[in-house]
Amino acid sequence: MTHPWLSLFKALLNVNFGVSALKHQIKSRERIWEPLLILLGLLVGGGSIIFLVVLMAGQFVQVGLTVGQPELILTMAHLAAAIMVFVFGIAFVMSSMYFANDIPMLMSMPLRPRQIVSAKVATVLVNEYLTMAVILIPVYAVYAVHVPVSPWYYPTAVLTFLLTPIIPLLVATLVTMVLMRAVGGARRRDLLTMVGSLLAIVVYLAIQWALQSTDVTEAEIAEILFERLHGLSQVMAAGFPPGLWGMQSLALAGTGAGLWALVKLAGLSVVLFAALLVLGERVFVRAVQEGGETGKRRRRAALDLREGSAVAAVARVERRLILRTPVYALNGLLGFILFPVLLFLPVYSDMEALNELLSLGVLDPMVGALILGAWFGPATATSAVLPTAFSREGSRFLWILKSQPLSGREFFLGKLKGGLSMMLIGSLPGAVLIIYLLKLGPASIVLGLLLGVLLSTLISVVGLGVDMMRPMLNWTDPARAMKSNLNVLILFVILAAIAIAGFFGGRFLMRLGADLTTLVVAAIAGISVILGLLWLLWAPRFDAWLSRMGD
Amino acid sequence: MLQLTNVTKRYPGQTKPAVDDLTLEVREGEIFGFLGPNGAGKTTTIKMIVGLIRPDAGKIRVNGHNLEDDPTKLKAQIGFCPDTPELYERLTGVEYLQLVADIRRIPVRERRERIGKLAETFSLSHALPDLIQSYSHGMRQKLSLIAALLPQPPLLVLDEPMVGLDPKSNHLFKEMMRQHCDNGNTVFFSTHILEVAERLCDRIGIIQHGKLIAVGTMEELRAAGREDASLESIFLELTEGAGEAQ
Ligand SMILES: Nc1ncnc2c1ncn2[C@@H]1O[C@H](COP(=O)(O)OP(=O)(O)O)[C@@H](O)[C@H]1O
Ligand SMILES: [Mg+2]
Repeated sequence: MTHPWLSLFKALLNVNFGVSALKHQIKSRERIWEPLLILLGLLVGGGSIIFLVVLMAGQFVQVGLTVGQPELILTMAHLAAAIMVFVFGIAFVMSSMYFANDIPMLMSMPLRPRQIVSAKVATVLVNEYLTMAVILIPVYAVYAVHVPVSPWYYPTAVLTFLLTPIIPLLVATLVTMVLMRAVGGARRRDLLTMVGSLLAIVVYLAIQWALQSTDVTEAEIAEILFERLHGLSQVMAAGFPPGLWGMQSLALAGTGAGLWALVKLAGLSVVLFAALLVLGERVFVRAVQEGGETGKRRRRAALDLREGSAVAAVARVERRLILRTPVYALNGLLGFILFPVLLFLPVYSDMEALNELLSLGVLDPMVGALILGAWFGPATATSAVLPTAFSREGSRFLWILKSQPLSGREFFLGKLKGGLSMMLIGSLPGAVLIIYLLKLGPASIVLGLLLGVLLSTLISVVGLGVDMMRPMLNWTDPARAMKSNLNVLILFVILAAIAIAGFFGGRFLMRLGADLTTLVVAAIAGISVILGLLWLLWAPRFDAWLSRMGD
Repeated sequence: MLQLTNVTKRYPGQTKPAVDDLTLEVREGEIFGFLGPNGAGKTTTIKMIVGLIRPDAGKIRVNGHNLEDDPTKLKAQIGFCPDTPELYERLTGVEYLQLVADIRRIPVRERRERIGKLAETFSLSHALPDLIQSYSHGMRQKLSLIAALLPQPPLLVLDEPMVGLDPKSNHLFKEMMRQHCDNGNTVFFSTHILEVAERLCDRIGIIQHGKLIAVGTMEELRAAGREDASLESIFLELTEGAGEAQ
């Protein structure tokens, strides 16, 4: 008989990667092209990331070699991986341990809480390995190509790779568990989603700050560069020793010091894992049980009834459901906060350099307008709100709106209004940041915002149209409607095509001698025309799409 | 009021159609009971009437509006309550009714009056400001009924409406149906609870294996068999006969 923990782990992995669903799809030969398209998307996406990593790692090794410290790239890669694992870890752990709807079911089975917790964490770990592989493995390979390594390097690399995400993930899990307990379990889920995301950001900020605020004198710099072994790495990883250990295990592979670093990595992992088991047993159960007593939203005020149009009503409901459902908010809106922070930090630490550049007048105001406008693109595209707007109704809830006298056009416009308004408001903080950092003038701001709003609208309309054409309605877990929805990927592919067309169109105009202002105006005009054409093409089909939806 | 002509629906992957060449007319102002054993095709028929799924063949008309040509106008004639009321968990009851009222363009004063009255009748007023996720099954059913009644639709279509209601609500609900008809509207509901159909309905249709096997008033149904037959015995006789014929 298989150990219950292993069965649980297998079942969770199965759900996580949709194995059974995939098998069924392949067996019944239903829409085989979907998994193929996903595979293709992953290959292209993963391939381009690996390409970038190889490129950058090569550069860093070269720079490192000039000061005799090529292992710096290993330290940086391990630190980057740790930060990534930690930040994503908090989000993953929250959604899989506290907001997942299989928890009550699992709790009712003859399983110890620590078994559930560890199996869940193990599932998250598998996800983290997959994401980390595209960063660490190319770096390991690049290092081995440029630097002579001992034969021990290769087996050690496997172990180091396996150990690297464990510590940051366990820290993220422990932090999440303590946090959940402190704020009263999953009872106040909506609040918690926000708190959790903010916490992840704050920790990220702190790490960045720790990494960059190391004030050193010139003499020390000389010492770090030329005398101390792994001096640069030690400075970088000062706030997070496991990052250093990972590097040492590899750079010193085959020596006692290398082995000792590996032992330290493994040892800390074991200690943290023990803490997880203990805490899981004590804290997890109570937090989840309290979460079961669903919060009521009492508003004792008299029936607050207002009158609005059907489109506005659909839009309002769309916004409420997104904001009140943690998995939706997490997947749909987190990027709006995370991106500006990730963008801002590197720049912030180098404000002076940026200001100097700006004062030289290198930045054409219209380039500023383009950057401002372009920001709305990824901001909208990476949110899954619009390309899942109809899928989220699912076969469970579709009847609500479909049985109402709502035309296809009203349904589409309602969803568009609800989703787009969130996209635009969500993109604002990032836009303000760009305006502030690049010190944009009124003309750049007006043109940039106009471009941005149009771009966001175009992406929203395309995403929503794709989802209306082929919604994914057969889900049991609402998270799947958003997380494993092919329509999100299809939107990406379409956007990539639009971006490439835009790039070549722009280059063509420049070759013809167009200046930047013409380019911005042309972009605005081009997007407007595409939007108009799309509307003419699609609007007459909305009713047909609606009537076949869910049939 | 409601006409189905040769309506057929086969689910993909099934060999037998779930609804097979069904022709049926429901007259204005009557309560029509749609009876049949489990899996007979009641829910499928109802889903087609309210426009949730499309018939493979046949025509559906409500008040002169054709489902194919004008689904929106047809849906505007109907108030619908499904067999399992799956509602947006994270809206409050009021917010849900607000959505329906906005789509149906009910003026504010009227909607306040109607919601107040309906919620009072079904004793749901206290729960309306709560999130639907805190509602029990019965409360969801009631909210779903209130939403269906809110626009005062000419045709009320209900799928197994009595399941899950407590006796008091059950009684109330039957009165509401009667009253709705007295105001000149029509009710079409499915059930497998025979005694409800027997006492409440003006006419009854019996469906099995997707085919309509009998239709008429209680008297007409009895006339086909024994004089003093209860609906139960008629039902059993008819459905068993048809079952053997298969
Ligand atoms: N979504 C579906 N896919 C395939 N078959 C279905 C589906 N829904 C219902 N059926 C089948 O259609 C027949 C009629 O079902 P239904 O209309 O739900 O019956 P009733 O409501 O009278 O109990 C049954 O045999 C049922 O198994
Ligand atoms: Mg049914």
